[in-house]
Amino acid sequence: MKRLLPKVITSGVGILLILTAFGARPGAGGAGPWPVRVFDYVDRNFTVWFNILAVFAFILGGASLLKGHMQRVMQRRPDWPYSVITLVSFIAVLVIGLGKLGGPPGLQGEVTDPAAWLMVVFAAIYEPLMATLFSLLAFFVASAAYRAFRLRSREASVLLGAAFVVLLGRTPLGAWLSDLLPRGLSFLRIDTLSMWVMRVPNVAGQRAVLIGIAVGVAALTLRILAGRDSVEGDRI
Amino acid sequence: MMRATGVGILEGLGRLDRRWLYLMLFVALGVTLVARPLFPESSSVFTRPVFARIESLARGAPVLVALDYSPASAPEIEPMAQALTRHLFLQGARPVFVTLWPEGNNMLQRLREQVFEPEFPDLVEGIDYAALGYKAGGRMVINALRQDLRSMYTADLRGVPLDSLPALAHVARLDQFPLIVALSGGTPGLKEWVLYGGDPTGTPVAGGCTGIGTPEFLAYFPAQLLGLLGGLKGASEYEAALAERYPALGIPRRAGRAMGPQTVAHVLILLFLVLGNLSYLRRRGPRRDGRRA
Repeated sequence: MKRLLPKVITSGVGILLILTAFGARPGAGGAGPWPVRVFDYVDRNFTVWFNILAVFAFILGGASLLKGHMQRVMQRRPDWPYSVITLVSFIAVLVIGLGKLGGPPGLQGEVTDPAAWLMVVFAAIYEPLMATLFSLLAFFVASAAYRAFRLRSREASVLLGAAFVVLLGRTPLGAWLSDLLPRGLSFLRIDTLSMWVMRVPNVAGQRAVLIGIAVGVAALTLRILAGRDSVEGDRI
Repeated sequence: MMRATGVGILEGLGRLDRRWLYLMLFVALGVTLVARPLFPESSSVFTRPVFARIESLARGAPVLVALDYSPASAPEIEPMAQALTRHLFLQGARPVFVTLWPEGNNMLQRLREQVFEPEFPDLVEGIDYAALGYKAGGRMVINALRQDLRSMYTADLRGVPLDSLPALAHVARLDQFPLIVALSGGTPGLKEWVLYGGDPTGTPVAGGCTGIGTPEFLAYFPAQLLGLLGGLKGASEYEAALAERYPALGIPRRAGRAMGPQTVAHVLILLFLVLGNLSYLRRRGPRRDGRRA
C-alpha cells in the first residue's frame, strides 16, 4: 500500500492532466458536456493549487537553509564564518523585505518603492555583487580561449572555425572587414557566414537535441504513468 | 636567427602567465569604455519581425512584457527592455509588466527610473501601463495566465485591484494580448513563454535573451518565435532601428555604445585563440606521417 498509493495518485493525476490538455476549452465559460466541464475545472484550478504549493516551498527552502548553516556554525565545521555571513544576510533581508522597512506607507506599500530599504540593499549590495561576479566571466573566457581551445582533432578544428566566424560576425568589425571583399566574393562575408552558422548547423543541432529530449521525456512519462518507474515509491 | 627568435616567442607564448591576458583585456576594455565608440548597425532577420510587429500594433493595444532577468544579465537585456518599452510607449501600446523572477520587480523599478519617468512623464500607471510584478511558480504562472489573468494576479504592485485598471479593461486571458514580449536571462524565461504561453494560445511571442542563450532559442524561430533580440548585438540593432524610425527624438544608444567594448573583447579572444593554437602546434611538432596536428 505504501508503494502502491503514490503510484496510483501519480498515474491518476498524470492521466487526468494529459486529458485536460486536450479536452479543456479555456474561455468557454464552463459550458458543454460534463467531461469538458471537469477538464475546464481542473485546467482552471490545478495551476493555482500548484502555485500555492510552490509558495510553501519557499518556506521549506528557507528553513532548510537556516538549519544547514546553523548546524555548520554550531559544530564549527570548515568555513563556518561564511555560514555566519549567510545567516546574517538572510535574516536581515528577510526582515527588511517582509516588514517593507523604509517604504511608505509601511506594510501596505510597494516593496520596490525607491525609499524601501530592500531597494537600497538591492542597488547597493546585490546588484554590484552580481555584476562583478558575471563580469569576471569575460576574463575566464579569454584565459580558456588561450589555454584550452586547441586544434587537437578535426572536430575541434570545425568548432574553432565556427567560433571564429560567429565571434567576428557578431561585431561591427566583421561587417567592416567583409566590406573589403570584392563583390564576387560576397558569399564569404563574415556576417553572412556567421548568420548561416547560427541559422543552419546550429538550429539543426539544437532541434535534434530538443526533439531527442522530448521523446525521452515522453517515454519517461509513460513509464511513470504505467507505474513502471519507482522513483516515488522508493523514496517513501 | 630571426626564425629561431620567432619560434622562441611562439613557445614562450604558450607559457604566458594568465594574469598578462587579464591585464591586456582589462586595459583594452577600459580604454574602449572611456572612448565609447558608436558603430553603424543594421537589423538582422531575427530583429526585424519584432520591430515590424510593434510598429503594426493598434493604439491602446495591451502587450504582455515579461522581465525575467536579474542584474547578472542586465547589461545585455536591460537595453532591450528599455528600447522595447520606449517603442511600445511611442506606438501608444499599453505594456503589462510581469516577471517570473524575484529580481524582476527591481528590474521593473529600474526601468521606471530610467525610461518611464524621464522620457514619458505624462504616463499614468494603471491607464497607460500596468505593473503586475512577480509571482512564484514559473511555467505554472504562465499556465494560470492562459486560463485567467485574475486567478493569478488580483491586484497590481501598488495593491490596486486589477478590475479597476483601465489598462487591463478588456484583458482576461493570455490569448487576448496581441503580443507577448519575453526578455529572458535564463530559466524560467523565454522558452517557457513560447511553450506554455505562445504555442497553446497562438499569441505571437517576441523574445530577447543573452548572447549565450541565442543559439538555443533560434530553434523556435520563426514558427514559434516571432523574432529574437540576441544579446547586446540584438539590443543594439533594435536601438538603431528605433533611432532611424524616430530621428528627432534622440533615442539613447546604450547597447550601441556597449558594442565597442564587446567588439574589443571578441577580437582579443580571437587573438588569444590564434596565438594559443600557434604555440600549441609549435610545441606539439610534426606528426610521424609528416603532417601537423
